[in-house]
Amino acid sequence: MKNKELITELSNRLEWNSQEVTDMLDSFCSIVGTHLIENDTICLPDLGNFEVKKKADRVSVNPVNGKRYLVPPKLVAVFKPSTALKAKLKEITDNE
Amino acid sequence: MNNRLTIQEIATLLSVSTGKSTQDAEKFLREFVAVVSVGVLSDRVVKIKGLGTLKILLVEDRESIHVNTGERILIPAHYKYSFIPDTELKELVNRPFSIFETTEINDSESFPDLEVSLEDEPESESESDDEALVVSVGPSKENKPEIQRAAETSLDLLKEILEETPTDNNPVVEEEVTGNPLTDVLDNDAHVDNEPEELNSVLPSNESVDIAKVISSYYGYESENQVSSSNTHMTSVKYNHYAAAPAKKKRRKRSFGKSLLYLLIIGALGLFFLGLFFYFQSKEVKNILPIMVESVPQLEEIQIATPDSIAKDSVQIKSSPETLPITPSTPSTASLYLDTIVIKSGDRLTLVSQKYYGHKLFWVYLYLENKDAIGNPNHVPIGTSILIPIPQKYNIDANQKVSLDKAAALQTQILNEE
Repeated sequence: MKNKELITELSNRLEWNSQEVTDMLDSFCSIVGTHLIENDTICLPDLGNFEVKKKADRVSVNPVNGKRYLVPPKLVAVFKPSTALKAKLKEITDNE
Repeated sequence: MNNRLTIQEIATLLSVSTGKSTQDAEKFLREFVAVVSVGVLSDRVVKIKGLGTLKILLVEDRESIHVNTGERILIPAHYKYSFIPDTELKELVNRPFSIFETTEINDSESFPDLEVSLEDEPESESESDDEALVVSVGPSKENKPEIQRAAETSLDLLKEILEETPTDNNPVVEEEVTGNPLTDVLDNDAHVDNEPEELNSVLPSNESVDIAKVISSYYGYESENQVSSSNTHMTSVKYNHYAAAPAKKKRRKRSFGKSLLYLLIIGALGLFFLGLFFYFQSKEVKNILPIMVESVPQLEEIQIATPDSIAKDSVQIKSSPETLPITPSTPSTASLYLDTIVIKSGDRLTLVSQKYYGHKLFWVYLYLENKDAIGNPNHVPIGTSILIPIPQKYNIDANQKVSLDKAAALQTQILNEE
């Protein structure tokens, strides 16, 4: 599902025009971003949580030339799917 | 910070930013969740611009070992969610750490080395102090035997000199006593006058240096009387000593090391003076000896062979043609013979050969030259006078193999004859 399809689907369901949905979606994303910076967790029931995780620095080796690189620590936005979403995923696996 | 934002809170924020009502915002969020969950399940991928991509990935079945039982189990194929944030969100979130970049590591720049080097720094400083002390003490220990010997031989002499020298020397010595914190050392010094050998062996290296210093200062006065040029040296030595004395009073590590250095310098100067003194003394002795011997013409022949100290030199000197005129022998034989010696108890032809020609093999030429007098080369009678031929006569050269081989062949021939 692409972003456009998502917007059209949402506009159909909410009976809003696509512009309203686009604005709402953009502002939602910016809010998520700003709050992730502040180390907040965004909880969307039945979907999951958006969190920030810190990845520690590490040494990686280029297998081709054997050079070693120090990869700096970084903050990564992660999505933790809710149990409900995972359960649905299990249904797919079982159905196959 | 570390807050959990629920749908209601997000809706409030959304309504503020978009101008819609919180109910609309909340409704939007719920629909959003529903659409995304449906979309990801149906299409297995949902792309949300500004947030990221939510995907469903297939994890293939794999074998594993049960942690508790150790049995091999097959983990069946299953699906998992994967969220990849957009670069926009990624950079936004990672802004605090954005200054870091992936850098290549050289082997020498590895972290353990850095830590080790940091830890070593304070230790190395303290070690260097210790080393300085040890190093400064070391040479003094090496000098100790020399100092001992010097002290033994010269202390009596110095004492006499001290007693003989006018009173203006005494204040200096007293000042040295007061300026020295190691007063017990000076007590020892006083005893050293009586029992030099024992105390010198007991004294630590530092104290022996002190003795050397005292000796040097004493000797300085001695030389002052004799040589005017050494006067300046002596004053410099005194100056060094006085400069070192107050520093030592602080008894701090650094100043102690410095004073040790001064002491070493003073000791070295003292040794230098002593060395000069003994050198000149021995030279005088050497000069005196020949004169005495020359005054007794009968001893001429023996004199060259007997003194042990001159013997080593004489081997080289005799072999060189320059000294030939010096050797006291009759002018007629001087060109053909190095020397004439009288065999004493313990002398052998080989030893004489070793002494004059540098190799014992050349005894054969001595034998050939004195065949009439010697008879049996293995038994030369004491008192036999033998002539030492010049090396050129038989091409004697201890460094040439040809000459040695020739002598060896001659030796076997002579020995076979008997």
